[in-house]
Amino acid sequence: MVRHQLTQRHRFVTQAQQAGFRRLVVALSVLCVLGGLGISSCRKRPFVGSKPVAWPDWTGHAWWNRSVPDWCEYRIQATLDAEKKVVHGHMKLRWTNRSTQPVPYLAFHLYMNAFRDDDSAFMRESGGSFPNGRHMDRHHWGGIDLSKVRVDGRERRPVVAGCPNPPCKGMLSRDETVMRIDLDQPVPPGGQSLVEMDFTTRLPRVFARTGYEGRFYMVAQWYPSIGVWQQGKWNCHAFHAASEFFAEFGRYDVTIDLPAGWVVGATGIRKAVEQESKPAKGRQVVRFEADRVHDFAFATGPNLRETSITIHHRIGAGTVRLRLVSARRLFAPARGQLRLTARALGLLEAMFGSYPYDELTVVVPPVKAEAASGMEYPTLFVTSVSPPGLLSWLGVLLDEQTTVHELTHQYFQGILASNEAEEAWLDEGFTTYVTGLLMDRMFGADRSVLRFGPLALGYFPQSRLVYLYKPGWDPIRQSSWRYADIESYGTITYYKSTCLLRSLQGLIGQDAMRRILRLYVARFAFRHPTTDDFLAVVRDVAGSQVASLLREALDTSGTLDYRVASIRNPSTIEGKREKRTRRPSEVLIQRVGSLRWPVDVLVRFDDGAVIRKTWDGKKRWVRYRFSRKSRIAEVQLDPDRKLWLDLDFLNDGLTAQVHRAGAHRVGTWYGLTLQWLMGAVGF
Amino acid sequence: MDGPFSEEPIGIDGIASVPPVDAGESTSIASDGRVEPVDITFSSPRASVVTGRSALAGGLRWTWRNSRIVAAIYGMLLLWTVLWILPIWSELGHLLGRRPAGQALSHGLNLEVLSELIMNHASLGRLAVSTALYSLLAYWVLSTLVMAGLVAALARSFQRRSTDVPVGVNGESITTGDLVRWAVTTGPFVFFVGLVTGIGLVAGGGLVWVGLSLGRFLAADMGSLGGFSVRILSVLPGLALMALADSALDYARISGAVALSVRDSNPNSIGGAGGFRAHSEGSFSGGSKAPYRMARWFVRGLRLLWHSFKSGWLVTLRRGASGLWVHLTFVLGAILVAGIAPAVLGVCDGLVGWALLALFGQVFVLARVWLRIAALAAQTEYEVSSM
Repeated sequence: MVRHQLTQRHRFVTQAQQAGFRRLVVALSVLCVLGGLGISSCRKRPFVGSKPVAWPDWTGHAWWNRSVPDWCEYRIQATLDAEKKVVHGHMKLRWTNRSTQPVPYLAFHLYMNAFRDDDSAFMRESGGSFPNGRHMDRHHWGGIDLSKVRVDGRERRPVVAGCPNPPCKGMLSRDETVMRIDLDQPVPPGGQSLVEMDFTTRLPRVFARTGYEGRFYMVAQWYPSIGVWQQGKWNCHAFHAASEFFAEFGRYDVTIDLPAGWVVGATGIRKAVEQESKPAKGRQVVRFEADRVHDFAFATGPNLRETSITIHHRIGAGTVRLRLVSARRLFAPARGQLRLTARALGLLEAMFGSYPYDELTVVVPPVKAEAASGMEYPTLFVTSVSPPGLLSWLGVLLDEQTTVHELTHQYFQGILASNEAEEAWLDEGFTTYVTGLLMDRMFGADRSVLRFGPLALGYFPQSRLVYLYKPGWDPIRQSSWRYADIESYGTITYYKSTCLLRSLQGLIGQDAMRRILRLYVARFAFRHPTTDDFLAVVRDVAGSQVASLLREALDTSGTLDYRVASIRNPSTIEGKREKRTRRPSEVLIQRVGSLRWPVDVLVRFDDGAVIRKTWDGKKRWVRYRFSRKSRIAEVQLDPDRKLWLDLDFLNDGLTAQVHRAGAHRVGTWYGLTLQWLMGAVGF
Repeated sequence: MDGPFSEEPIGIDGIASVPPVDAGESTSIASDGRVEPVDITFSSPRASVVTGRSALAGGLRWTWRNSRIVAAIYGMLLLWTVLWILPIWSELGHLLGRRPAGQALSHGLNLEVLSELIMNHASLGRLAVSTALYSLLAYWVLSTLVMAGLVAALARSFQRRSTDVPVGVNGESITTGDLVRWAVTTGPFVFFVGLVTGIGLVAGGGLVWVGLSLGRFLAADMGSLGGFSVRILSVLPGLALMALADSALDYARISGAVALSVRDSNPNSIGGAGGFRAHSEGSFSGGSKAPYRMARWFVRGLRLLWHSFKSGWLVTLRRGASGLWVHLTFVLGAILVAGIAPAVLGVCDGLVGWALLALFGQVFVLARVWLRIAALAAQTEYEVSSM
């Protein structure tokens, strides 16, 4: 390859000399491109390991056939008033008390009230801006109003519950995202309660997941959603800025009256409309049914276009229909995302088991409504498509990341409905970690997020990059409103937990990690697993010691960092006196961080010999002595790159001799860049 | 055709032709900094349409004959760069010299290692950014002075050749002292132009931002291709303004320097009466009148800039476009460096690869300096001939 490239260069330059300056420019440009291509194949291995991931066939329990009792049965009749940006709804909810305690009152989420005014917990914490860079349009507030509430046939007056969680404690009466309905008689264990509500939801101009933009409507968090009765109390938190959702599994039967001709993408499967739901002129009525889900959302608009493909389940028999509902102008690139979804879903099925629903809808909103994108709902997710070809041309796989991430949420949120408010890492951390595995599998570990000529970056190095931003501000297992700020929340729940899971993979091996993930999914599908549940799975598969290490990493804000402090070789002695005066070579290794995970130590000697050891990291430092004829040339901690939590990969290695080539090359790049900038301002 | 100008017909109204004269003697900056006479030959220095192409062609020939100037300026740039990046090199050597991970960088750019480096050693990032800022600022001052001196020297030579005025002052050869005096004399004006250009760049940047917002708004309900096109179109005005401002810097500071150094010898020209010598000597007098003189130069700069635009915005635009052409050439060179140097890096590791990178990079830097001086020489002669 080297010779081939040099030959090419020589040939091009020769042509250019003959043809003059213009041809020289053209030829060098071609060489530039060829060189850029060539480097990708010639580039030496980075210091992060990347083995191809093998995907053995599924051999576990067929959890996807598990039936789930309908603890919640929602029947909603909704009418979208596109002119007023309002949804009128009538909801019937049959709720079953599956606990052993009587339930004295009912608690509901009114998420849309987060956008009612500046007094909501969401607005106070976020200041009206969202990490996507969008700001609340204060001329187009949202909100939900209940006009009639009846429980078991008797009219009730709901009470705003306020927000009991810090930091919004003290403004209990301001936040209206949680309400309670007192009952005359508690709902007994196993008993049911029928709740009927008429509600009107005003859609905000979308800046955080839900709302409208132009003629596109992303209708989410739009109906009164009952909380989860757990351990003798309602788990029904206010809608915080750094928090998502938590709800009970159930069955949804939703009928939507909306303008005729509009395409609808929704949770569940479209069904025939009942006879009494005849649409008015210029309107249409659509009906969706969904079972074993914990939320319902839909997207609609006049400028949407749809298509679908059907794929066979990777595991077991049957098919799943992948439906694309895309902004008409983004339809062509959106189809690429649909194909990517099909591919990634196959890998997910091979990893965790069959996708348990018959349909999955991918929504691509218009560019202007991109604030609705990057969000997951059961059997539906919203992804984004950049201006066609631009990011791909630059080799940035951002859209692909978003699509795979939201798809993965179908498992780690849709099927394993962990509490996103109290333990967000179970949702975002697992999803980000698995997204990395999928991206690496599909695009190559070294260049799964960036592949621009010689510049390449993998998914996990990118995750580390973000993790290093704020690695030690908060523990991973923590309620979302307790984080220092939304940056710490994002860094810890998404990326520190990703690095933690990747470190766990390195610690116990790939196969054991797969067994853990599969057992976790199989054991807790259609349930609400907690961190303790996951730790129990880890303990069952990898032992209590590993679970203990993991627990410490989850419950403290501690960090992991090892460094090679020094290498000490005896001075070179030649001749007969060597034997008499030889002293052992020494390596001093220090644990800088507070987490104590075992770390591999690789010592390479001048004669090429290699010694590997494993240090348990219990003490603050360890010294290794080697009595060999040859000197220590290099010490590398964690040579197989297992501990992705380690704060500084650079101090993991040390050489006895100084090698300045790398430093010189970076310095030269910097100097050249500086020279060009100088040329821009001067000669 | 041996001179810096093409023999294309005159195409811009209001630009007078200058009759051909014999080739004369000019100056050159030697590698040791001395200014000495060099042979500059012009076969047909008629004023003509100076397009980017013709300017470049003529300038290239001129620089070919006066390569010592290019070498001197390139040497200055190289020395300046090396001086400024030494702390970075030292710090990088300290951080990476004994780290195996650092060796990964000897195989080429490795974003993983670089990101670890930046994220764990924020001081290095701060050092790199501050070094870049300070060195650029300082180099701008230095290069502005050198450019002003060079333009003045060139202008005097060109003027002497076209009007039979003896070389230099009082008929003597131009010396290093003359060069420095002219640099200091025209320096304030050039700084002023740089200030105006900076404002133009900032305004252009603002316009780009407005364009981005506007494009985002307009493209919201449009298709992917149409929306993308609208976005691109909406930022073009801002980019054009930035490019024009940048090009105007070249044009204005050259024409301004020429006017100050040559045209001022004519009492009827803008800028007031008095010869060049008077100005250059005056600027050295310093003392309590220095602030007053600086203010006078500022006003003079304003008048000169106004004059240059008054001569016709179309002409100004066209000259700006010529500058743009040259700039595009630089951009192409930058792309080539960015593309080829990594290719070299990819096949050659260690010190050999590093040396090749440095060598390759310097070849292109030298080429860029060469092109830039060529354009400067051509434009300077054009300004002289069109007086």
